[in-house]
Amino acid sequence: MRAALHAEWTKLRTIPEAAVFLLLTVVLTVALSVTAAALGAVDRVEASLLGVRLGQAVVAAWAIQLLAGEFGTGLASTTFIALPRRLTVLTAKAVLLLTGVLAAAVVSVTASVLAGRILIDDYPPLTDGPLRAAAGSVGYLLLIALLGLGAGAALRSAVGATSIVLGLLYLTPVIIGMFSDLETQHHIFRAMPGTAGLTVLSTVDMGTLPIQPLPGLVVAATWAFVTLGVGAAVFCARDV
Amino acid sequence: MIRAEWHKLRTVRGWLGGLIAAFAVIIGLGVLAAFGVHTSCGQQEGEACPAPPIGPGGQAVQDRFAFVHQKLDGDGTLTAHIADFTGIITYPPPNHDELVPGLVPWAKAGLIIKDGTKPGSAYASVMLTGSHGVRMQHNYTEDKAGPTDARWLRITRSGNTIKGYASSDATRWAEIRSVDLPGLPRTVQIGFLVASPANVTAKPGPHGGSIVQARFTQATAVFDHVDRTGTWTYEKLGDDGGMTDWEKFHHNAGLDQHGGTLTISGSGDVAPAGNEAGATIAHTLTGMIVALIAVFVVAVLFITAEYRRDLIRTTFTAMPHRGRVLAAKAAVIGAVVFTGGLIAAAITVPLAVHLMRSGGNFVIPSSTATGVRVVVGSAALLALAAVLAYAVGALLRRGVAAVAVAVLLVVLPYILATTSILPSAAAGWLLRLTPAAAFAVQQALPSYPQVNMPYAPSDGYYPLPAWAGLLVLAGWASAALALAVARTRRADA
Repeated sequence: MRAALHAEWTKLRTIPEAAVFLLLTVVLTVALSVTAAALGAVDRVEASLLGVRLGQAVVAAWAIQLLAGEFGTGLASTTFIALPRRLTVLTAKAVLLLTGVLAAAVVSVTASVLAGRILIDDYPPLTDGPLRAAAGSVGYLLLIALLGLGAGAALRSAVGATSIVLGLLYLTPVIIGMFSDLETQHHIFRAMPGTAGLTVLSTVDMGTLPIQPLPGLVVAATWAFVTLGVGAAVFCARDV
Repeated sequence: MIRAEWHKLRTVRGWLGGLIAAFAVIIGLGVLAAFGVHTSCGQQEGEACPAPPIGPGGQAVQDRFAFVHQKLDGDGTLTAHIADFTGIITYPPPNHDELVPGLVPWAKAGLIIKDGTKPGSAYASVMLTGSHGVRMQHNYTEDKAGPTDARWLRITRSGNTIKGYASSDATRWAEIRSVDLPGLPRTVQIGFLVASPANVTAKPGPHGGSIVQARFTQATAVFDHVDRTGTWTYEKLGDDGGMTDWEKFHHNAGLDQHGGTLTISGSGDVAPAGNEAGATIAHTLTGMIVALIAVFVVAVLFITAEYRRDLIRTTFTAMPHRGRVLAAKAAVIGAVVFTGGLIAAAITVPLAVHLMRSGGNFVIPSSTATGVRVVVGSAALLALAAVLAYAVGALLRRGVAAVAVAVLLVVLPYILATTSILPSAAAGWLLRLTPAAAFAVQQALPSYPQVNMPYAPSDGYYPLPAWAGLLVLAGWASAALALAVARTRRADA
C-alpha cells in the first residue's frame, strides 16, 4: 500500500494537473460565493456558499481525470505491471484524491463563509447554520470526488464519464421542470445526488424542502459508493 | 478539406452514435415532457382546465372586464368624461393586512368598440389607466400612449377604422391612433370598459426561483357627459362565476346609472396572456440541454482524439494550413450538429405539442413564425455550442477539461439563472453575458410593457431578444476558435 501511495503521489506531483484542478476548485468556488454574497438572497448562508455548485464540477472532473486519464494515455498498463493488485492502486488513488479535495474544500468553504460574514449584513451566527452548511459542503464535495472516481473507473472514457457526472449533477432541475406534478418533482429531487446533496446549503424555510440535509447527504453518499463499487469491480476485472 | 473532416467524423462509430443518441434524446425527452404535464382544475383529478380565449392574432389572451354596452349599427361615435377613477387593492405588501384604496398601474377605464361579447373577439379601446395616462389599445397586444392629463375620451367608428381621441377640455381633441379592425361586422357593441388587473409582486424564493403573488383589485370609474342615449347593458365579460369576498360583502362589480352618469366597477384585464395560462411550445424542448452535453462530448473528442492518437500530425502533414484545418473541422461539426438538431427539433415540437393537447392540456398557441424561430434557433444554439466546445477542446487539448469548461460556460449559467437562489437581476446578467444567453431563442411568448408581470428568467422570459442571444453565443464560439487557431499556429502539434 505504501508503495502504491508513493507511486501515485509521484505521478500527481510531477505534472501540474492536480495543482491546477485544486487551485481552480478554490478560485471558482470562492469567486461565485463572493459574487452571490454581494448580490444577496433570502438564504444568506446559501448565498455565501453558492460557489459549491460551481466547484463540484472541478472536483468531479479532477477525480475522473485522475483515474480515467491513465487509460487514455496508456499509462494504466505500466501502472498495473508495477502494481498488479488493482484494488490497492484504486485505494491509493482514492486516498490522494480525498486528501486533495478535503484541503481544497476546507480552504474554499472557509474563505466563502468568512467572505459572507464580511459582505452580508446580519449574517447568522456561525453555529446557527453556517457551520452546518460549511461542514456539509465539505462532505458533499468529498462524496462528489468519490462519485467521479467511481464513474471514471466504471466508464474509462474520461470525456464520457465527465459528461455523465456533470449531467447528473446539473441537469436534475431541468428534468424536474418537465413535470408539472409536485409529487413527481419531489421524488426526482430526493433521488438525485446533486439536488438532494446540495440541500446542505439551505438554512431557511427548511420545511418546504423535499428532503432534509442529512438524508440528502445520505442519498449523495449512496450514489457515490454504489458508483465506486461498480467502478472498483470494473477496474479490477477488465483488461487494460 | 471539409470532406476529409466529414469522413473522419462519419467513420468513428462512437461519435456518430453519440450524435444520433443526442438527437434521439431531444425527441425522447420532448415526449416525456409532454406526458409530464398534467393540468387539472376543480376538485376531481383529470378535470380539464378552461382554456383562455384566443384573440384575433391567434394569441392566448385575457378578456375579463366590466362591459357596459349597446348595439352600434354602422358608423358612430361615443364621447364621455371620466369624472372619477378610484379603486381598491386587497391586502398588498408589506403587511398584507389591509384593504388599500388605490389603482394598480394598468387599471383601465374607457370607451370600447368590440365585435360582440364573446371573450377573445376583436376590439379597439381608448382608456384612462391607473398610472400610464390615456392609451389607445386594440386586439390585446397593441398599445399606444396618448396624453397623460386628459379626462375626456372619444371613440369613433367609420367602416373598419376606429379612431381614439383624448382631450383635457372637451374642445381641443388629439387623435391618439387610427386602427383597422379587418372583418368587423356592420353591427358591433359600443360602450364602456372598466378593468383592474391583479396586483402582482414577485419576491425571491428561499430555495430559488421567485414567488409570484397576485392580489385581487377592483376599479370604479364614473362617466358623465355621455353623448349617446339608449339603454346600457352591463355584462361581466369573461366571468368565471367566482366571487371574491370583497365583491360579496363590500362592493360588487356592476353598473350604477343615475341620469346621464354611469358608475361602473370591474376587475380583470384585457391583455395578452402570459405563460401562466399554460405550457408553451418551448416546454417540449427543455430536454435539449441534456442532448447538449452529449454533443459536447463528440465535439470535444473530434479534436482531442486527434491529439491523443497523434492523427493530428498526419492531418497537418496532409493539410499544412493549420488555421484552415481547424476552421474546416469547426464547420463540419457545426453543420452536422445543426442538421441533426434541426431534424430532431422539427419532429419534437409538433409531436410533443400534439401529445400534450390530446392529453387534455392547454398549450399556448404560437404563430408559425415563432415555431420556426424556436426550432431553427434551437438547432443553431446546439451547433454554436458544439463549435464552442470543439474550440475549447482545440485550445486545451484535454478532453475532460474541455467538456467541463463547456458545461460550466453554457449549462451552469442557465441552471444558476433559472433554478438557483441568485436574484433575478443577476440571473438576467448571466443570460446576457454568458453563452447561455442563446437560450433566448426558446422564449415562445413575448413580454409586453403594458402588462405588469415579473417576466423572470425562471419563468422562461429572457433579457435578450432571440437573435442577440445567439449572437452572444456566436461571439464566444468565434473568440474560442480564434484563440485555438492562434495556439495551434504557434505550438507544436
